[in-house]
Amino acid sequence: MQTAVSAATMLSRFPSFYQILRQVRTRVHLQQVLRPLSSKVKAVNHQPSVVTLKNAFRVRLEDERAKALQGGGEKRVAKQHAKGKLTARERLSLLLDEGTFRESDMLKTHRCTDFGMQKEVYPGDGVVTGWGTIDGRPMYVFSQDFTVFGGSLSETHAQKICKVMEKAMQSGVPVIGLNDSGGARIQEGVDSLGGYAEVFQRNVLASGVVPQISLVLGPCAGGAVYSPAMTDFIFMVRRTSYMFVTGPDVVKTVTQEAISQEELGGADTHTSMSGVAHCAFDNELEAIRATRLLLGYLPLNSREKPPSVQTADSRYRQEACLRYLCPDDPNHPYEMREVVKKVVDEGELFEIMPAFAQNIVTGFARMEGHPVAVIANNPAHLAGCLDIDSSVKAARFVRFADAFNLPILTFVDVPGFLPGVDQEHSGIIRNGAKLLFAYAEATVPKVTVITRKAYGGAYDVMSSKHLRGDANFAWPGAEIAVMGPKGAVEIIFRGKDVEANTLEYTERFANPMVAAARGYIDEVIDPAMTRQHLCEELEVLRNKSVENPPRKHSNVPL
Amino acid sequence: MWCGTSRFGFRYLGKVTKTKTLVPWKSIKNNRIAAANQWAFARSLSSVSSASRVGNASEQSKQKHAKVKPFDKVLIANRGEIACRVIRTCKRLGIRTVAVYSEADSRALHVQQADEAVCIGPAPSLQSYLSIPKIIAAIKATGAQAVHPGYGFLSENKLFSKAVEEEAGAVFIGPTEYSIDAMGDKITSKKLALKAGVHTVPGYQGIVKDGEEAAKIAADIGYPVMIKASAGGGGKGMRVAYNDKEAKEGFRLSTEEARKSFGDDRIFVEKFIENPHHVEIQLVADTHGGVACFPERECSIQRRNQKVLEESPSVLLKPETRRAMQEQAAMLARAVKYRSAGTVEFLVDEDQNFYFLEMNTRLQVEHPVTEYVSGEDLVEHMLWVAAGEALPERLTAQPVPFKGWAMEARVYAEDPLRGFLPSTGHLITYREPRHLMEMESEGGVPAVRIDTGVYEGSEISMFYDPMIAKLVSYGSTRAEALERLNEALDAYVIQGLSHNLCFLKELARHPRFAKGATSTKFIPQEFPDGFHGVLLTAEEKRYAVTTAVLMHLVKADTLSTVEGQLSSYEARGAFSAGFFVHLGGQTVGADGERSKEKEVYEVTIDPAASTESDTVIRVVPLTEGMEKGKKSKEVCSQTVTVRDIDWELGVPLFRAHMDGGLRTLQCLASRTLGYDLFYGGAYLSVEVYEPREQALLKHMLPVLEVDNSKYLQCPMPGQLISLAVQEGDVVEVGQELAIVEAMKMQNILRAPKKTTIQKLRAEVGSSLKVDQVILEFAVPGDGGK
Repeated sequence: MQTAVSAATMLSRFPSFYQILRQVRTRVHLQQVLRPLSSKVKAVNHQPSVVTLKNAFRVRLEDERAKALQGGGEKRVAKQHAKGKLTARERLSLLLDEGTFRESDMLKTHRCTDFGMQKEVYPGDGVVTGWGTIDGRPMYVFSQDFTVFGGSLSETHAQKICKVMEKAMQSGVPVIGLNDSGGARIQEGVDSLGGYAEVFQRNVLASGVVPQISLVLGPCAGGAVYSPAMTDFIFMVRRTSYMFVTGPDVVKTVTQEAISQEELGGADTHTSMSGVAHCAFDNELEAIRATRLLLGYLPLNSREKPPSVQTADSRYRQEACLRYLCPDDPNHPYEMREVVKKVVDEGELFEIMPAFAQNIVTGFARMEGHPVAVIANNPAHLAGCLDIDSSVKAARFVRFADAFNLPILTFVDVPGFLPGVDQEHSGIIRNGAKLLFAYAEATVPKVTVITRKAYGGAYDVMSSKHLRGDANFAWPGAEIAVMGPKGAVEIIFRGKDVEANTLEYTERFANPMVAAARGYIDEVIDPAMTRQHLCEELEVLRNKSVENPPRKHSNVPL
Repeated sequence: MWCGTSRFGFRYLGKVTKTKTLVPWKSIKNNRIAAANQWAFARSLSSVSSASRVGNASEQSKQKHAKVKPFDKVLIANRGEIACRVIRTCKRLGIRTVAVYSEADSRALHVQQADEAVCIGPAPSLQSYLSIPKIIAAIKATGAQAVHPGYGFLSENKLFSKAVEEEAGAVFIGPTEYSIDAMGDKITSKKLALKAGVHTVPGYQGIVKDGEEAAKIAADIGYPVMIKASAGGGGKGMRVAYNDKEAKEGFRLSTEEARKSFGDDRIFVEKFIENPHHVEIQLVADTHGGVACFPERECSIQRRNQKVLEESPSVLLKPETRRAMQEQAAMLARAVKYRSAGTVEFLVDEDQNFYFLEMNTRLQVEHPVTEYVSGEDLVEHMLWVAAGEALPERLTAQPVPFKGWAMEARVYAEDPLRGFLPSTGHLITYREPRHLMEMESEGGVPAVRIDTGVYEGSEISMFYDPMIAKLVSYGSTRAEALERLNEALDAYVIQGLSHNLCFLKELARHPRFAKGATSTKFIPQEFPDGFHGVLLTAEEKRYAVTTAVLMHLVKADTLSTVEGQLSSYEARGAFSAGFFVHLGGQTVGADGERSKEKEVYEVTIDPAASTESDTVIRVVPLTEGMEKGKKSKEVCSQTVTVRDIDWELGVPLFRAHMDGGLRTLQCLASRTLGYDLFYGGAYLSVEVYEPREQALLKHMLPVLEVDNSKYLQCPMPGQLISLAVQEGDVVEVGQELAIVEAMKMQNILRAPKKTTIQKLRAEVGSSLKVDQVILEFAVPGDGGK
């Protein structure tokens, strides 16, 4: 908190010349300034001189700033802390590099006069906005203050958020929103609702222009949920943050279902069951630090390349263990994350949605210091198959990567789409199509390694050569076929001589030779050399330029 | 002896590292390509160095043998490290090798190392490594002249040795069928030993009638005695008596217990040996009457009769006792016309009395310690003896001389923190302490030898013995060997499955073990409630804290190189604000300036500068901090000087000289808030905070322990193909409960906590839906325990 104070006061110690001039010139304005002046000043002089007024204003300005910095006051701050939550400014002080926060609209207040609201005015109106840096890179931020009107969104509150979002879009700087709000400012009625929609509109316009990150650090209910929902990534904190359209009370009334806030819309629920949020953390400190790490992988906007960092990790690092980590027996599971970690820089994978649809792994990593988006089927969960959840998870991730110029690295070990009545009835067709669409539409460099199985339609989907894959590699143990040998033999030979025919089919098709002979695979590589091959391809593809046909926009199957 | 100067012997280490150790190690570590190629390189190196160390001995022996080599082609009827061990000697002698393997081992190291390999069946041992017909077929198919059985599997199977010689017409590299048979049975072997004049545990072999008789026999044997039910087991029906009264009472109690437990109340009386040592004599006998007696091995550190740590020689034995034991071992070998390598096991009490236990008619797991101190290659002698050659006279004329001290730790895939449950899986990361394997000890032998059959990426499967490797250290003194063992355990990186390095480290760093005060009761006495993890000293914790801070510095450094920074941005020196480090409930502060040379730091822990209850560590460059450090050392002795840091992001081993000693820590994982470290056998979760974070940390809610559900639910639709538990079973965390097959993949469901199985709710073979309950766990206070 202290650091934020010093940063803000340092900047705002001297009001601009223009501000003072305007106040002095207009008499009407002067009276406005005068009216709320402290009695002390009034008592000294009934007809204040300009100098006195200026001095009085300076005092008042300091008071107002101090008030803005206090948020909702000591008591409410203590209450916030007792819940395991930090204040809006404390959060920003952790998120941004020390002393880099530049606040805007610190003195902005609401204009509501209904229900006695004119008596309750807090400078800043429940949201702290501005910009600062993360590892030296600029970021626009807004941080809702639960201690002021419960962080509720008023017309002015919304205007402040819209202002930073517009600035962010214009200057190509990411927006990070720290959400902690009880919902609409009910006293303002439709003004507040309008405010939400204004924010929504800007979320949509900014989408794909600059990265938008949401940290849900408190309640986020009703219409408010749709702002984070339209951003790129949502981080939540266990036991302190909730997201739902209707809370447990309404749910109870309407459907008779009794459920706690945490179970209905807590961090674990949304990161493992609903897939609404991307990562869950034990506390705000961890969530904020993770946000800083995440931004390190992302470009500031869609016109830039992702930022590189220096690394000592050589592309020539061989990992002989990759020859053995993937079992020969196609029915034996293995943890694909381990394979990915052996390949990428320093074994660091920043996983997105690690607990949701674990049959596919999505995350950010670096190759020779350059960020990449990794998508990998994980045979350790549901055999690594594609189902509704994993398709949607991966599709959104692919589209994010494509929007922000992140090369896509795909590790394939997929037995196919998950069969089942539930899957079909819930629309595996239209949901699976999302991933197919996303891969096919993506124009960023696409480099693929088939580690073992690539069966059926899932082979096509997973960044295949046919979907403009730039470099498609296979390990020698790869099996690229319409289906596994057993199933194929039963269809082709109608159950005759299953064993002998299976062996024959396995020999002919359960390897990457046919695909390599057709050129669907560029090269069958030694698994130990995977990193080198990928680094080389990524370097060659760094300036890849492919454009989709001009159109208003594509019509992705939603 | 210099070992008296310091328990850790930094002085010695420091000397060596400057001249030899650090150089090859550093050059390899700095070169990430070479580091990546580690396993291949390590393999060739260890074989080269081993060859060179036993090379001298072989040259001596070679000159005396008539033949150039004992055989042209040898088949090794085993797998894993022992197969690799035998192949190594064969290669050196120019013998072609044949490996046999099961389908599960098709890419195993022994298969890669052998000249030829024959697949002998599916993974289960009974259908492969234990199948005599399949191995005989392999011998015939490859034309191997001899078969080395290794240990375990068929090594002590007389039918196998017979089949090898008679059916396949090859030589069995081991004892004759008669000796295997004679020594295989405990009663026969004891009788034979008695006959041969070997000390056996005194006792009355007949059945005791009543308490009076028991007391009389006991008095004859000499107290204390063990009154044992002949059907006894598991500690039931066993009583130790120190006088007549106890003997009578013991007889009564044991009889009752035995009757109740086994329905057999036959009782016998035996001498009770208090705090016995398990000491064994290695010998090799030829077919010409020559017997070579090697120095003893002390194998007292055992857990449930499984040897854990072995050493040679024994701290206990006086030269005359050793001599007497060797003589008796030779007598027994001659009595049974023994051939090849064998081991005579004894129990030895504190007064140097020794008693024959049994004879193992094979090459034993722990043979490397003997090879180290004697400088002999036991496998080579086995090969020559099997070829009918006589042992060299230097070995048979007198007991084999020995030099130095060797220790062996058995590295297993098991989880000591969860009741030593075996674990399976891939060795995701596997790095041997190569700097020690390359370091030359006195006499030109490597300081550490690792015998293993695995490499990075290998799978430890449920089909075979879960041993990963044997870590053997050597030094001119016991202290030196122990110190190297300790360092090797710190630097041995094994990730991907649970292993017992932490337990081995706990033993190796145990003051009682350092004193040599071992006995077979060591583990039960020191760990009566099981093993719960290593507790680090305050000094060691400081090293861990210092390490975490330095790692964090490197990470912050990397992130500060990100592109696209504003021109006004200047990466702060990471120490400009300092850090707070959390370790096991303690918080310490790390403050200081950054050394421009980035080479040397001085870390000062200054309680006087503490905030609240925190301790502050100051990190300053040594050049400037030297004097400061000296001053503060006088005030408080908590100063850590760090130099020669060798670590890069993503590399598991962090090595640096801290306080003059080479400290090796492992970074198991890098997390959002900190690092998981492995140091001194302890698993540490260290978190590093900036002061601004530390200031706000107090508002964070404590992390709740996750409440594991009462039920084991099916995670996916599939078929229940097996249940590994029954109602009422007590299961450890991570123990297999059931296997569900889905998408043709077998998924093992494991216990989320230590609990009791209350009820089984699904039948094997049934189809399960998602979240269907498979079984219920007992809830404390719900009847179950």
